[in-house]
Amino acid sequence: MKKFFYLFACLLIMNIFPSAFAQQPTQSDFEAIHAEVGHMIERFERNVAYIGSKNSGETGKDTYIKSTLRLFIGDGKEYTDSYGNTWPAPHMQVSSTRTTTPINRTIPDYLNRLRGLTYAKVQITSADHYTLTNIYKVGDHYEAVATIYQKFCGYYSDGLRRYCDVTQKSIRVYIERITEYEGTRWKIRFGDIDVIDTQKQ
Amino acid sequence: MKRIFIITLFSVFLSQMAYAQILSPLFFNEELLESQIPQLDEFTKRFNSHIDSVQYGYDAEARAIMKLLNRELIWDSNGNLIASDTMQKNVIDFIQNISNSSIQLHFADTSWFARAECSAQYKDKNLSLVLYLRTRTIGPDEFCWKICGAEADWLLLHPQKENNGLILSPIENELRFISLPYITKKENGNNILNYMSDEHAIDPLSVLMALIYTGDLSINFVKEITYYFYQVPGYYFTVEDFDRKEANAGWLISRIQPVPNTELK
Repeated sequence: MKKFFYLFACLLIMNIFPSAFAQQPTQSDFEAIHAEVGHMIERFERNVAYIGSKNSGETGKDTYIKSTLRLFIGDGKEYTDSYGNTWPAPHMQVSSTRTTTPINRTIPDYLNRLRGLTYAKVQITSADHYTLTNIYKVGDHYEAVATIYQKFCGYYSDGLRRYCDVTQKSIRVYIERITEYEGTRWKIRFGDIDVIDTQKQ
Repeated sequence: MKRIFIITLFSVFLSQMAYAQILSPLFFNEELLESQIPQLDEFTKRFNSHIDSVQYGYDAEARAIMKLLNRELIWDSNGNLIASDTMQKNVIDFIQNISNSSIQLHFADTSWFARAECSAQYKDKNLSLVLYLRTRTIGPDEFCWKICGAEADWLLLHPQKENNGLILSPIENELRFISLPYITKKENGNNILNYMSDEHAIDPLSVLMALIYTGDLSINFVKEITYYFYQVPGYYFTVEDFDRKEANAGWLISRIQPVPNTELK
């Protein structure tokens, strides 16, 4: 009798907290995740362009930096995972053909540097094309990597000289299944970014 | 006949690669980006898609695999064929073997690994180190990478001095091995191998783990990654990242090497 009671209790718990018993994402889940990652990338690219632009106001930049940090795990700060492990703030590793050692910056540091650029005019554009790897289960969540391309052009005040480069950014994407009263949704957050910066123009 | 066919394929392939990105500095050549392979995952997807090309015949299948080859395996920058007869034969055999055995690459395969060239920090010194990593299945549809090997001359713990005086005397036991504290002192530590039994070869990975465990060693960053694949019968191939502004860029096959079956095992 006791066995049946425990079995019933387990089934009840699984029903109430289905996210605790991670189910494999279905094809429609993958499509929803791809779409959501696409939106997040667009938002990230739009925010980066705004923060880097000389035409944007300082208050607006503050808002955009905060909004961009919310796209990242731990809101861009050190965070603790569900197992109690502490991880450093997500960072950006920039490799370049000009330097042998990659430069590491936290995401808030990257955004603040972008905001403080001294060019008279800054233009940042992104390619429509991006690549997303398969989605892999990692403990209690899923991860993937999205690769995007950005062009940066900073113009000096004489209007003639400019610095332009193309970067390939590979972004770690954390995907978490959230079960709510209304149903299941996917919470997407970005993590570390590996930047390859080689194509000077 | 097959060689002429493959060379014709190479020519078509090269002409497709030849165009470069000539656009305004702020716009992207989207077509060019789509043809590049920025992720190994994407390489695997494209490699596996040769199966989908089978319905269009061997030409289509061969072309799908050809697009994954680094052009420098076959051509120089002026478009001249540089591959030796042996190399051409290897490429043809390699493609045929993939086609004949319908090879596909999967993350969970045990027949591939990554070789990562790292910059490491040992105390106040920057040193080079190679790590080997393999994928492992840790649950249903759950995988991870595991470090399975390390390579660096300094991990072999070569003694600074080697001579007949650096031994533990046969009478040490009578003195309750009184010299052990001396030979293991910090300033003598780099001669410790002289006192070790020959029956136990140095395992660089164990040395590496011990150094990391004690906090004496850390990895600064990864300089280069090469993937080794052994799924194709009779061959192994490597995949490396080629960063350049052309269609033939990203993660591409950098080497095709015949392997005797005995070695594969």
